[in-house]
Amino acid sequence: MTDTPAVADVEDSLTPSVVDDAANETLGEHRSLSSDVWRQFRRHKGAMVGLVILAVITIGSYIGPFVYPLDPFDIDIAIANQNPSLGHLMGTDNLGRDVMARVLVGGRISLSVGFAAMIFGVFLGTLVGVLAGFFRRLDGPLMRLTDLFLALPLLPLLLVVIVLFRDPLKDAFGPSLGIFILVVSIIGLTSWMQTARIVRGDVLAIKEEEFVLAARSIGTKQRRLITRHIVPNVLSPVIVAASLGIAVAILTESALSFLGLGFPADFPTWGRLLFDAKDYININPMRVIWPGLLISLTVMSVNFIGDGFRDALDPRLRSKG
Amino acid sequence: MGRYVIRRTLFAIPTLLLISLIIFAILDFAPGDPTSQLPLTLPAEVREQIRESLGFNDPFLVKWLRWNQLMFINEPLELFDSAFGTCIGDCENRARIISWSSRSAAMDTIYQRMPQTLWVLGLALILGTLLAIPVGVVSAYKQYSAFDNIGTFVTMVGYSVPTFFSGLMVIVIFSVWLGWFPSFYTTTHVVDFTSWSSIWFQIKQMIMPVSVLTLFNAAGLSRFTRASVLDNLNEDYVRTARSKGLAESKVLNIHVLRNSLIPVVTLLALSIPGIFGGAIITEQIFRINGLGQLLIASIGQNDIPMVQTLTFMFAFLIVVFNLLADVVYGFLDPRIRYD
Repeated sequence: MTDTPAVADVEDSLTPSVVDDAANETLGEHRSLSSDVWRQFRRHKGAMVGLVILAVITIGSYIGPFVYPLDPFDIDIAIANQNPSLGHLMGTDNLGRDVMARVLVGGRISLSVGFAAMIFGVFLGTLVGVLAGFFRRLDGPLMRLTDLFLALPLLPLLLVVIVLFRDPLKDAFGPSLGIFILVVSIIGLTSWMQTARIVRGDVLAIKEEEFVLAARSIGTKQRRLITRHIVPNVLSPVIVAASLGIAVAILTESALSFLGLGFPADFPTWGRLLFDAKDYININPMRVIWPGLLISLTVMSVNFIGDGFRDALDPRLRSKG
Repeated sequence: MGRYVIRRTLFAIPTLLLISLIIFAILDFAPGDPTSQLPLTLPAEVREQIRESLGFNDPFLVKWLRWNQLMFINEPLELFDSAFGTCIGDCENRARIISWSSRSAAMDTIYQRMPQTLWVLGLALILGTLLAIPVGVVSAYKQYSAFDNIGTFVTMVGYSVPTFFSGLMVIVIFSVWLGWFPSFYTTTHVVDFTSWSSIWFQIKQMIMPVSVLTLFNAAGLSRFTRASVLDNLNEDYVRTARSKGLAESKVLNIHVLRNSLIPVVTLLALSIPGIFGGAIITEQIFRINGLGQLLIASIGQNDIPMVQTLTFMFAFLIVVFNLLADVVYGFLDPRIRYD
């Protein structure tokens, strides 16, 4: 994941001392920036463990349902509310459906929402941040807008918006895709503010650098100046914000589903499974634990990965290693 | 300092107006109808008259301005009158925001629900801050010690486990298995401060929701405090303070702590909407009939005036808490005051 060419473009943002260090080292062996970042990332134990856990959970959720023999929607009242056994590794729910099959399928929706909402939110945040930082005239209005969004009571508004737009979108795109689009877009629309603030600050600093002046003086068009010179240089905070954004998106989706206002009951997401399980907490406490454990593990590994990226992409820390 | 506080307060007013416009605009799209809960035998023209009398068919701007008048003028007057027993203007027939489902003033219900929310949330906020700052400072000061390693891991866990899972786990362990605490919150219990059993009952039912929220708030805050103190410990002024022979406790408590707390207060202000969100979820888990529970119920009943007023109350509380954070910020960092 770290070895993407995008990371290599961060080179320009390195402080002079680090560039000097790198130049000295090229005499010995060639070290590209992405391999440097990866080397530093691997040193972060928590981040590596997080990466492995996230990979296992992702593979389990996307491939698991094809491999696992039991059907998540198969109702059998005779075996309702069973404790974990060899036949049903995580037990069964109040309708006798296999909990493990439902958790695996639920992970697919939860993770997809997390990734999609993160991409949307980070894209919006980067766009707003770059525009505000680059064009002085847009800076004031866009930053006031950001402040306003930060002061809004987001969860109540999310709940209200979901209730209002659930039915029109369901009619337009079908029940599963409609809710998916709704949840992803409202989580994205309400989670771009931190990214925008960080990106704006970085753009303001980079705009004054000499290489931008150089590009300007050879007649680079503004659009190309932004896409070619500014955006690649703000990628490291964006990568960190993106990894933390997945955690926020998964948590928000689970919270919405937990309040009964996210995905409908026939689309098991981890939050929805928790919501359904909480009424049977006296009879079958284990049923609460599985989806909750998976949400927590996913969020924790994503947070650790974000920490690892932050350390690995920080030139001050990397130059020491 | 006084001028700074006044300036921040004045700045909050346009923010609140804009927030009220956004909330109102979103809810005006709602397909709700004030007569939907009335019997079906009601003739259509009577329904139309009811809608007309409630101002349901007026243009958007008129409805918004009227709502603002009710919210910003009539409701504060009503609150003042009921608090001091006065009667300003035509207090008998004063128009108020009426809930569609309960047919009573929305704000009266909100006043009934507010204490529960503020008690749980306020206690969790105060306890969380009191817990987080010492842990963060010690963690940073003794970086890579056993305390720091354990603390960093525990805060990472606390930061990642959502309140709706930790809350359910606490219920499973302490209510279902051990039976120590009640799994739901009884609001009808009036605390009698002369009787120990009554106070103990209140404490027992508050322990679980408050501690779940406290741990969640403390985790993020102490991670941030640690990072901030670490940044400051490497600054030149710390070396200067040490080299002129200042006691270590003074260096840490006066120089480092004060500078490190500036970004922490900013984070606290920024995370307040999230804390309110967490409170809504906690109320749902522990069945506390506070504002969050009222919001969920009103959304379910399509009670649009109630949802509008409640969402606005959340915004109002967030703005007030932000204002408090700004004041603390100005107190900690003199550079901000003389902007």
